[in-house]
Amino acid sequence: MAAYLARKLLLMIPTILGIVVLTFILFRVVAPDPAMVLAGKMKSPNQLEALRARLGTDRPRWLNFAAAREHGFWHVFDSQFFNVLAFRFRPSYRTNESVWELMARKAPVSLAIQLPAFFIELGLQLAIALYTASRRGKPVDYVVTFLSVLGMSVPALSIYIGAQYLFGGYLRWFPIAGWSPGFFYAIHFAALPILVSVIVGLGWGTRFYRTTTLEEIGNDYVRTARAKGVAGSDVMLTHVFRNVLIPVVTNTVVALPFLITGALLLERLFQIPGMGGLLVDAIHTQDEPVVMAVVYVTAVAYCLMLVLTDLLYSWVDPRVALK
Amino acid sequence: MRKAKWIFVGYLALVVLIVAGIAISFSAAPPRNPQALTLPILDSIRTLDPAEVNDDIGHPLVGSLYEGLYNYKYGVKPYTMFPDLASQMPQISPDGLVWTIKLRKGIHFYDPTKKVFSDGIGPEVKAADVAYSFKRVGDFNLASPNYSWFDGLFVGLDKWWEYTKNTPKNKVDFDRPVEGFEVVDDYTIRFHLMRPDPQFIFLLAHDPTMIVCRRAVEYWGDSFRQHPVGTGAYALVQNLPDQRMVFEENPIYRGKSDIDGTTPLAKDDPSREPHIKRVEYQYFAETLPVWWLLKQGYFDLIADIPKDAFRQAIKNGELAPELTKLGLRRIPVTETATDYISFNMADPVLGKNKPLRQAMSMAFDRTKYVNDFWMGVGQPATSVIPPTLPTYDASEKNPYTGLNLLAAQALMEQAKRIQGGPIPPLKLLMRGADTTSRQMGEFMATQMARIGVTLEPEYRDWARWQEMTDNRQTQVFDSGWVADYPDEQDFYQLFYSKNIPNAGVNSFVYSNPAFDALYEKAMVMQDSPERRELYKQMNRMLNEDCPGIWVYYRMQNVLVYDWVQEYSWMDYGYAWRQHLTLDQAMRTKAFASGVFRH
Amino acid sequence: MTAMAPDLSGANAYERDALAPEAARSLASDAWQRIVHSKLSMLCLIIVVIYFLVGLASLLPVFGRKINEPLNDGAPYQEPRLFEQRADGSKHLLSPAHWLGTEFQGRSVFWRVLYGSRIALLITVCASAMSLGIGTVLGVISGYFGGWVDDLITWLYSTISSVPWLLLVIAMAYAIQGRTTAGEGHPWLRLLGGTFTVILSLGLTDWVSLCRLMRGEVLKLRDRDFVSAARAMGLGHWRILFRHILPNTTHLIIITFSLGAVSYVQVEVVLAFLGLGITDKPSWGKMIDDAKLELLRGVWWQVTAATVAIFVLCLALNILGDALRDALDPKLRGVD
Repeated sequence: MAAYLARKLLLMIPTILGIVVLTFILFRVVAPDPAMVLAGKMKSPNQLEALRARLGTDRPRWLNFAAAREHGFWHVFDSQFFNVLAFRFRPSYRTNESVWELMARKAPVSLAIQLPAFFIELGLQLAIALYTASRRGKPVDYVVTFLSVLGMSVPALSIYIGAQYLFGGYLRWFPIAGWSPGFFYAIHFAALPILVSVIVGLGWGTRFYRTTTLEEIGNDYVRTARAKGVAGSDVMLTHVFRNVLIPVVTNTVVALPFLITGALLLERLFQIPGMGGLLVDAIHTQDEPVVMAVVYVTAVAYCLMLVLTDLLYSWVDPRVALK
Repeated sequence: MRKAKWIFVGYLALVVLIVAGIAISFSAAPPRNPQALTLPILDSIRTLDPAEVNDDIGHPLVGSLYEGLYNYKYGVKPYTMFPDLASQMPQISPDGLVWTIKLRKGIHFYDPTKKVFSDGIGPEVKAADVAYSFKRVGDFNLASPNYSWFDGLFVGLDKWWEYTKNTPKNKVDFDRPVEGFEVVDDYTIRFHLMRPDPQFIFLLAHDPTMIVCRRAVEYWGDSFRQHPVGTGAYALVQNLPDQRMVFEENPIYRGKSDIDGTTPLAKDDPSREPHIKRVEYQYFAETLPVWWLLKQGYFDLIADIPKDAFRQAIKNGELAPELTKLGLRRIPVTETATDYISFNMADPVLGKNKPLRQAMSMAFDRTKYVNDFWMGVGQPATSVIPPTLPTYDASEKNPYTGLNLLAAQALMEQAKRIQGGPIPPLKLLMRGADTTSRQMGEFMATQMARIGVTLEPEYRDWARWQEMTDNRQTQVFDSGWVADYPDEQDFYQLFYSKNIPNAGVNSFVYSNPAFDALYEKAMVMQDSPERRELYKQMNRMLNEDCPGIWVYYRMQNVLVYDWVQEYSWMDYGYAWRQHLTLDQAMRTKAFASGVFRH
Repeated sequence: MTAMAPDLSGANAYERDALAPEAARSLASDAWQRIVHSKLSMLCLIIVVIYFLVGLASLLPVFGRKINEPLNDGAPYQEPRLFEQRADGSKHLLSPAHWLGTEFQGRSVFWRVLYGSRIALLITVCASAMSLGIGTVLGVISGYFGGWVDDLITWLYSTISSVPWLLLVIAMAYAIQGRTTAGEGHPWLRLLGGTFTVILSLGLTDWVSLCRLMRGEVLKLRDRDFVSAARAMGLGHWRILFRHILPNTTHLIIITFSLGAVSYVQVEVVLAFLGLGITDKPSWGKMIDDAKLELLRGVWWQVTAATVAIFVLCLALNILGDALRDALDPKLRGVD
């Protein structure tokens, strides 16, 4: 078990390296010079020089031969890339805040929307999926399946805009947009975004879990249980459900890092000061330390969650052995 | 085996609970403070440090928190200066190089967090603070985007810049004297300039020269930009980044800008500023919520109709009746700003082809543009100089800004001869990819197609737009300029050839020795009929050369509820919030009347 | 999608002279039979083909003219309209080409929605070609050769898949926009309009899932008898790969394509919202994004038209994708 974990964690290292290289290439090699963006409307050469020094973009990208010649060999690594590799994230270009502080402030807000939305969604998806699977071939099954495909096919943005206009603007059941600290106020503002994200995510999951359930129902043990006279609902809720849990666990665990990242469009449209909005802003303003840090954190979390999934498998289903 | 069933049932129950919780509490709206003026901010706040602020959103906020040596009189046009932290207008030496300025006495910094100074009351503002604030802008480590205002203006500042460049950030000795900022005594500061600069007085009223408190800067370090300690009428009491910002009255404010701190207005004096004791800002990145909340009476004032909501707000050149019914009124303001489409004069097709540029300028239907995009509100441009500046001459006709397709087609024949064939398709770079930009790009292309010029619009966001114009990767691009001070020079610097290397200023890459000669002559002159004549000559030169298509003079439409009074638009000088008044009774009545319900 | 039938028959030909089991052939034709016989699948197939044809037709210059033709009926300035307001106050429908209303310059929403299929088509076809190409080649190579090649490719795709896909697409689109400009270069690039950024960022990021599937499938096939036999006959690696293994993985490519197309159309909307990869030509994403403001003044027809256009296409593709998966993937057969 420990050896398994150690091996998995070691295997993460090259992946993380890869992520750093990828984001570095995108944001330090291909993207425009942040100094030009931040320098304001009159950019004198002096001003640009000072800004580049502050941002650290005056250094060579990959290897710093000049510094090596001057101060000794090890200074060859005093370059932009190796600074990033050492996770010396600079403060946000935009606000000069530490990226960790920024994320610590934004992540809970995203979670406040995403966690309830995710669990409500999951519950509804499972309930509907189990129910329709047990009514296979009946009208309700067709209707639900069709509705879920329908839901998958509408662009999320249309749903967001439509719901905001209808519920927030026209009917005024919910606030249009905004955020406020404090638990109840947070719920006040979070209600509509949560509702909307549940609607958007419902179709996909329902269909997915329905298929999974049907695969399970086809198995011999279900027929055996039925033959033994176990009531239909008990078969569904105990035998079948237990096996459906495996994909549920996979989806849940893998989705967790993305819950922290938040929903990009949703947060921007509903003015929720979470990670999604932060990311959109950061991408727009070339705030590369923030983007880099968020991508990095999400990716690492994702890798960790994959390991966790393996562990959970063996807990849910003892037949799965960890090698 | 029963366990799984209970897990599932329990889980469903939890979901039901959460849904119920949401349903119950979605009516728990946070209370809106009825005493406060509530305003939207449409972009995130980068900094509240005067030395660094350089965006439209930051200027007015900083202007309420800090004060400079001079300021513009509120509501007085043409713009007139008055001594703010200074006690009188500057004494200028005959050669124009030495400016001596006396300070007001008894004005203290205020620290709302009470962390730097335990009772919140900081030291008195003295000449050394002025010198310190100026030195900060010239600190290489701070890398202020406002340094270009200072660059080459003060004696000895270049040495200071070099010194800070070679000194680590926390080792910079701000006691080291800079010749240009001479502290004569506690209440007298003397500036030594490299060249006579009549516009210097405007700089002394601009945000970068506002006075900051040294001990607060040293206490907060990098986070000083979020923890302002100033002398302005307001102090920042709450700052939830990307959500909300609350300003409250500065309790030790003297009550009025142009009096000494030693003789403040009494606390109960009705003329004491700020009249509204609390101002709340709500941050919104998208226009839609701001618009809805304005119509629901949540916001008291918006400084401009969001350009995307324009078509809904204006009907037949007036505010739409549905809005006036709510008690909103529109205050139209001609900004000292011009929108134009620039030509890249370094481009091989455009640079050498004056008839082409003139033809394009003539083919652009400015009236239709103002009608289609601004619902007929706003003035088509006839030159780059907007009408709010003194040398704007409405009687002067510019042949290239009136729509004349026949003449434009005739010019196109010449243009084709110069090009030696048909004009190749030109790229049009638009600033932003939002709906309005997209529609404008399409509009431009349709207009130019009428004289056989093919424009291919491209849409880039602000960052990429800047990069592309700075690197001259463009041909035709959407642009504009907002004045920083009430002098035509602010616009003419855009065409001065020595500003070409300073990316961002002369983005036309316009170079005309005759123009440069006039510019250099006018630059050191005080306002006089002679200088006005020079300015007019320069304007005619630009009109003839057409380095850009002058599109229109930007019109700002302030929307304000009737219960907010004393509003007056200021192009410069940003301390306007302290002058507003709020009629509480009228506001309550409006809400009771039910116009804000459906 | 019309390209699908010849593809499958091509696969048949390969499989027949490969030592593949006869079952493969019947699988392909059986799949085709299943689709043709299901009324719903057939309907969806027809819908997709219609979109495809409209997309192709929109490359004709007449479309370019129609989308820029304002409805000229002497209104003082053009406002988005759905009805014609007569002097007596009565409302009438506009001319048939404007039944879906007009946008702010008085141009027909109907034609612009049709034109939107061009962008959708360009993005789906080009980005799919790119991502399927990369995914197939890397997956097959990785599964077949194993060793360090496999390690390298596995590393590459696990790296890319650990970044949220949408985030990666956005970052990529942001980084490369402006590096690729519409009017430049080869005339074929010009044909793509400004969609190049979107295509590149989708194509370069979405090959991961197929690559993973392919690798797994090839790993399985590598040890099957017909491959061993081919190897025993002394056939070269590439011949085995492309004549014997690849034809047996076609179903994965088709399924991935049908699912990918849905997400590409949807991601175009997201990118339009973020202002990335915008062209001067009408696209569904832009039309929906415009609704943020247009709804304010009660202009709902443009967003509705674009939403319905996307919705019908995605619905058809989803159902068709399901049908294809059921038909082509025998493991799942019998479930639905």
